[in-house]
Amino acid sequence: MNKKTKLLILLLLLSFFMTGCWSQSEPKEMAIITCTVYDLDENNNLKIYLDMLDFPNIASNEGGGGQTAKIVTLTGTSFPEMVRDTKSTIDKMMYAAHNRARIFTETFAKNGLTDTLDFLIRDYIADERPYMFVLKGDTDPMLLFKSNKGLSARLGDYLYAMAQVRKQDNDFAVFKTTMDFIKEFYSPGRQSVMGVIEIFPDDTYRTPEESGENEAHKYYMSLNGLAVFKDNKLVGYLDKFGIRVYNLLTNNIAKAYISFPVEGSICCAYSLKTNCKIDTRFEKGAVYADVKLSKEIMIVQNNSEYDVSTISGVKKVQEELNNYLKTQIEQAINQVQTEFKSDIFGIGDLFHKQNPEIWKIIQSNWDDDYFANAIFNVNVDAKIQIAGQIREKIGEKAESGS
Amino acid sequence: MKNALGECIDIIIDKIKTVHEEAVLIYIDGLSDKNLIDRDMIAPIKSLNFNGDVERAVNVSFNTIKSPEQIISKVLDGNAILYYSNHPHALSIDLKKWDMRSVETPDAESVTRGPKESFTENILTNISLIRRKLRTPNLAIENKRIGHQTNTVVALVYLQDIVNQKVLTTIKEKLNQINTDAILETGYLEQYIEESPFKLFSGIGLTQKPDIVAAKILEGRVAILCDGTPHALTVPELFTEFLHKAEDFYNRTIYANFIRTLKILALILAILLPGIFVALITFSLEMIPFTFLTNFIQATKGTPFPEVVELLFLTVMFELLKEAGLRMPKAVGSAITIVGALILGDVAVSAGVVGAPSVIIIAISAVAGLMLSNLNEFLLIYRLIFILLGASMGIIGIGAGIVFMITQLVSTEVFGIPLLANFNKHEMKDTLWRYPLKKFKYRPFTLVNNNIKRRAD
Repeated sequence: MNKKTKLLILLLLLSFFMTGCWSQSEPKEMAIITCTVYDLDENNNLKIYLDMLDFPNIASNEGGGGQTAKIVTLTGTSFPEMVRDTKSTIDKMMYAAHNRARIFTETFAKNGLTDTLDFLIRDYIADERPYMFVLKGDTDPMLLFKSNKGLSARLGDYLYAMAQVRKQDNDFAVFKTTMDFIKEFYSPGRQSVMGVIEIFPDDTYRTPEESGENEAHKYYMSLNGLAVFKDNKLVGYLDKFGIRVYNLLTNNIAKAYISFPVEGSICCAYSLKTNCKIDTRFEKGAVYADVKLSKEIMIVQNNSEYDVSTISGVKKVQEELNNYLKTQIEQAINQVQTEFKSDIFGIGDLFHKQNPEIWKIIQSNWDDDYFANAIFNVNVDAKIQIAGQIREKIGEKAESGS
Repeated sequence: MKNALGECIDIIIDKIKTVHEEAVLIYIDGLSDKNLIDRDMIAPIKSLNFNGDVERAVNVSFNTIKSPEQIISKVLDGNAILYYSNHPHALSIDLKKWDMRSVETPDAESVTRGPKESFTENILTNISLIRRKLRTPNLAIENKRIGHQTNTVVALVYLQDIVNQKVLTTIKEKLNQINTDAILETGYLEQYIEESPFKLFSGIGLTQKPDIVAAKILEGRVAILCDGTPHALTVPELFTEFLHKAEDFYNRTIYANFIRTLKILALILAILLPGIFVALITFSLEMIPFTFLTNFIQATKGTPFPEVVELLFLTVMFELLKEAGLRMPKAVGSAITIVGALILGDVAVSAGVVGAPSVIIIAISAVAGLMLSNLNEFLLIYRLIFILLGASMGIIGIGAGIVFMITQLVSTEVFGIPLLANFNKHEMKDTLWRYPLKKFKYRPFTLVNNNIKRRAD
């Protein structure tokens, strides 16, 4: 045996001891968590709901199917303690790396997420991919599991699928993963936001016997919403137009439908491209921000009197859309400035990049002072690129032909 | 003479009375053509016109032999010996004829395109098959006899102006050093001339097809033929040759390269797939897609053993079945396949001994391995090593194993030429993928030292 071989064997042995068999695991001995709900009980103790995969004990060789959810509720003062307790109630190892969603109740979120984030980042297995939501109101978290989950079998899968499908084109919602939230949390010139789940009773509820379906749900979930955080504590919610403004200003969604009024009738535009550029400057002790929003849109519905195949008609409709968006943006910014004093748009980050010297001075009371009193100058430039397949409004042929 | 050869029923020693003196005819029944002996040797000297000059009388060409030892060796080779008492020397007449297999299609290297002939057990037939491919005076055939008892004819075949002299000298030296009583098959030669019996690569290729031998000789290699064996050895065999096939050059470029891509993929799958799978399942569950993980748990929750045990068990089972199927007569072989498919694929899973995913993984890896049948030894050993590394050290172990494997491949030399020698910029036209044939200007630099150009100037 020559020297090289000896060295290689030594290296292999070393890596054998250094890589560690301690993290070895068998999947069949694991309880896989797909969704966690964080709540506080009456005594301000932590209370979490774990949605675990359950494989009913039937001899199945086909694989797939046959999985159900098992919900476990735990209370305690710290997360590790609760994990320990789970071990004594659940006869398998807890495994959270495939967690799909984390939901915080309103009470929990108002109390602050710092402790939770510390645990989530510090832990080896807890993953940064799950989507995070706030459960709006004082709804019982158990209702989450009883609500309509669309075509998915489990809550985690439903929220994950909704985020995957909807995050590109739903401008009335935001979908933030744990990683997004943490990034915003650590960013000095930006406050974090989170998606919102709201539970409503389903008016069309029918019992399984009546509907002929396997399962019937008395409740359904709405994911349209945005929870505003300030220093890791929930401070309020934005309405749906506010969320659209958030998505526009942060370049979050490029493609979405926008309905807007044109002299009493409704038009609808589909935006093909969106770009928002914000320039900041510091003058006379105040922060100025020039918001330039440019959009390329396609007209998908035109109920107005204007003919979008002519230049004058296009200009008129564009103007109406620009004004409509400008008003919305100004209103939303105003609401965030006065009501929440929380810079969710990341103006501070931009200011930091554009005026690094001044940022050092004003950084400490950015949100409460400089952001809240910043002067915004909004400029919207939407261009109609495509007017659809027909030139004139439906129904005008009879008039023009007579 | 009888004392020297012993009393054997196949050794015929006939006394022939002629008009003049007596003659003795010695030959081995079954190695010489009786009809021709009768017609061209016995009939002329028995005729009434025979004038006593035996050299003029026989109708065939002959050699004269002086010593008794030579007579014995000629007889054993199948020559007929005529000893005429009046004549100073014996006559050795080449009338060899014995029953042998005709040229058939190769059973191990079947092709859809290209010549379908394969070597037979007769070395002369084999040489003629090669010579028909290479009609050039440069084709050198050196033969020698090895084995005290078997006296086997071994032939070195190469092209004089292209062959790598270093390799040729090494082989000649090693052949001269062989000291044994028997060479029954090319495998004997292979083991006598390889550098170390414990290396994963002997550096010696094996083929049944004359066109492959011709192609390898044209790239400066030496072919070794052995009488009584329907295979030829080619030396040296470099790593890329395991990924190449004759059909790669017969098919058009794009398709040939597609097949080569598949082979590279097969190489990776055959070595790494079970190892990576067990590493992910045992250490890095978060890297496995969620749906696959749930299906995996669903399929394996009733099985008693850890994943690594299942994989090792199935690997051994597969090798058992492969070997059994190969050695059995064809009719029984298919029965073995059915039993194997039923036992392993279905009953073992439904009885809860192993999980279905392990069967799939080993099946994919084994099928990929069958695509590279020349590499069997290497694939099997490294597959087992990677399963063990993956199970004990996870992905880091797999990485360490890959480094170890590549180090070993790079440092291996066969007959003085590095195993991966043709991974250099001059030979990339035919290393992993190949260029169109028109672009091949040179022979491989690592093998050919002189006469490097393929094209005539």
